[in-house]
Amino acid sequence: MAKILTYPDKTLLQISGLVRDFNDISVKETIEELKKTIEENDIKGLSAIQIGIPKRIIVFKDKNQEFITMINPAIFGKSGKLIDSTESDESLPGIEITVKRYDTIKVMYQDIDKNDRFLTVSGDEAIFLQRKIDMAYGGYLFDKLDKKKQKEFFKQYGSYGDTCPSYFVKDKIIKALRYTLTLHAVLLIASLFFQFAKFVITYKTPIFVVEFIWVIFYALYAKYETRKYKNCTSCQGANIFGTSAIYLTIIFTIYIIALFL
Amino acid sequence: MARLVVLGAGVSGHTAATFAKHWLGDSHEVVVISPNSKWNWIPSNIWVGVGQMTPEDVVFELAPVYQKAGIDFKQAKAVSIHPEGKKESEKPYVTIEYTDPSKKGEVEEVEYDYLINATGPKLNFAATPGLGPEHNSLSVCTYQHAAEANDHLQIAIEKMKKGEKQKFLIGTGHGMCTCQGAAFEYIFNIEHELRKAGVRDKAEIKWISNEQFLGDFGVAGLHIKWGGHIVSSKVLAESLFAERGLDWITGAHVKEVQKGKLSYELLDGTEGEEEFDFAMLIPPFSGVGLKAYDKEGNDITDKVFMPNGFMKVDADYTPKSFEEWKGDDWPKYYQNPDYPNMFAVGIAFAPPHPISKPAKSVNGTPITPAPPRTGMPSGIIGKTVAHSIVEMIQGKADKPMHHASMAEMGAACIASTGKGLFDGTAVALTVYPVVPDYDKYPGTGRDPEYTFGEIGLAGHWIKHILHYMFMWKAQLKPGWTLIPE
Repeated sequence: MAKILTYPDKTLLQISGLVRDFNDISVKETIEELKKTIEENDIKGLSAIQIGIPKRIIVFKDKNQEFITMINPAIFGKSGKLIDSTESDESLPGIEITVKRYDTIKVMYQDIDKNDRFLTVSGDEAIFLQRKIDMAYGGYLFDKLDKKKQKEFFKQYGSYGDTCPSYFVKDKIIKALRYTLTLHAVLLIASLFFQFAKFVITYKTPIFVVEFIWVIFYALYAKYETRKYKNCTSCQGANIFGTSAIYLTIIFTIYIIALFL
Repeated sequence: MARLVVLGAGVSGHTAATFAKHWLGDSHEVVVISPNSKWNWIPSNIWVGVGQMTPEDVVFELAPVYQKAGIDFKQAKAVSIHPEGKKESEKPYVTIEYTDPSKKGEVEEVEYDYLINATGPKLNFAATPGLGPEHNSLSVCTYQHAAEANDHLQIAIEKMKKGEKQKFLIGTGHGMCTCQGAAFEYIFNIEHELRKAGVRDKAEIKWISNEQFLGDFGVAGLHIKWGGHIVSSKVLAESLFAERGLDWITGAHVKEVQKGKLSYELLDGTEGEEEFDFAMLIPPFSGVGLKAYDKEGNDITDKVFMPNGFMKVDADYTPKSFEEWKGDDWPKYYQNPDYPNMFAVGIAFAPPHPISKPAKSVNGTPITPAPPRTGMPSGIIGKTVAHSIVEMIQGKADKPMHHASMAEMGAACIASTGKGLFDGTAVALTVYPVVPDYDKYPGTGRDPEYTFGEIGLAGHWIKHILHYMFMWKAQLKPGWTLIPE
């Protein structure tokens, strides 16, 4: 019997690939291992990645307690409204998360003999299959949370260690700059009415230089910080570039306004 | 003096022609033949389609740019290729028919030493009865189509402001379409604009596509950084659709589009109908219908082109099952196997097979996205082929030396999900390789370290900056050669 991996085991993060070679003995072995693990644990079903095998294979028991094996499953249709579903999973023990699910789904998959099969399911079985198919595509319950709830989730249950974290020091640097620029803009308006705020005009160039260097420091540090994470290199670079460009534009705009006051 | 003739002036053809001329200088001739007088930065048509850009923002006149570059431009459509020449002359040539208003209808033979076929696709609206702007649905494939789509969108918005409900249907209009990414961008931009107009609650918006699963994008899906780890684009797409209140159907072959209603067949063989007030459906692509003739004047179109009208190149076209697909099936040099001085780039080359896992409905109807060959890969391929031809013309090589297989090539894509200086968003994606190499990267066929993406405002800014960068580059303004494809 295989061990059911639990969050935050990094093996769960592997992307499951399509099964292409149906004669590969490991496909049959995986299915047998899944069946055995399901029986031993007395559960409804498993996605292969839950026992550490990154293949798009799902085995589950239908309403008649018969095993159904889905290879390369894909949801191609659904009906009914999105419903709130409070779920847990063997790979997320002790965790309950409310997510949106479709009441009825249509699934296309292949059986062990490579035949195309179709299944339309509703209710609990549809919800179960949506969760397991998500896993076969690298998605977990917490992926369906909004950013705020996800942050709370990671805080409570821990995150994935050396994979790309959701929150960086660079975010704090830019957040501090955001507050500074907001204050700067408020003081600039206040300088029209109050003497004490006029220093933002008197010292406009030094302030501009400090804010400019702040952005450059942010860009360099962010690049350094994200380099440590394999999953974040290029796109994060694009984000850093875009974010820096936005803030430089704001700083430059404030400086131009200060020139005319 | 050698002559390189380029058929087509889209992303791939324009890139090939301009770089070839840049490298060859005045000692050799480059001729571009395109039926269109303007160059169009197609990715920004999405923003024309929602009124955030005008058609003028995404096009420019080709003639002055080519004149500046020293390229001979003929505004004409290619009719036939004669790779063996004719009885009187062995010099290969193409027959063209002018679309330039001053010479409209005139036919000319243009001889070549090297030929690049970069004609792009024919928008095959006829594949689905009732599909297309001339019938019952809209398109954003050209800037004219996009402008028309925006006119309809504004009418729909006015109706919604008066309290009328409107149903939007966006996606693909046939089981064998490609360019799901463009439709994906459009549905999110429509949703964004409707929110901005304050009429989102009056709109029902639905996606209909031939993808096997939401987020396939015709490339067997991608991987996105989401919630601190890497997930399939399926998870991202489903979440985005749910978050924005968009409904969806996938695995659908649109059978017919009537006024305000379409019918479709699903993978499981079931059929359905959808009513709509506004439908933007991408058509399937086919070759532009070029013919080919041998020296004796015999039709050799079947020898030069695949049945779908795309040109045969150095790919392995042996019919294979999905399990047997390999990265090596894909062309490296884009050279025609029978006529080595003839190349095809961008959408014009015939791919050996799809990228997504193929599927048929239980009735036998193929419902599989065709492989995309647009955007960054088409630019890279155009430049690479130009490089090889230039070296052959200059006598530095007797065969193409530069390769750009889509199974060895990465690509970056930024998909707009709403335009706005501060509230815009876009999904930035990189994929490596474009065509999965299942031998090199068992499982997904892709390198997980270089296949990822993110969504956010920065992505939108990058997309907007890229618009101006590529318009600048294509107009051959100072520093154009430094801007990557």
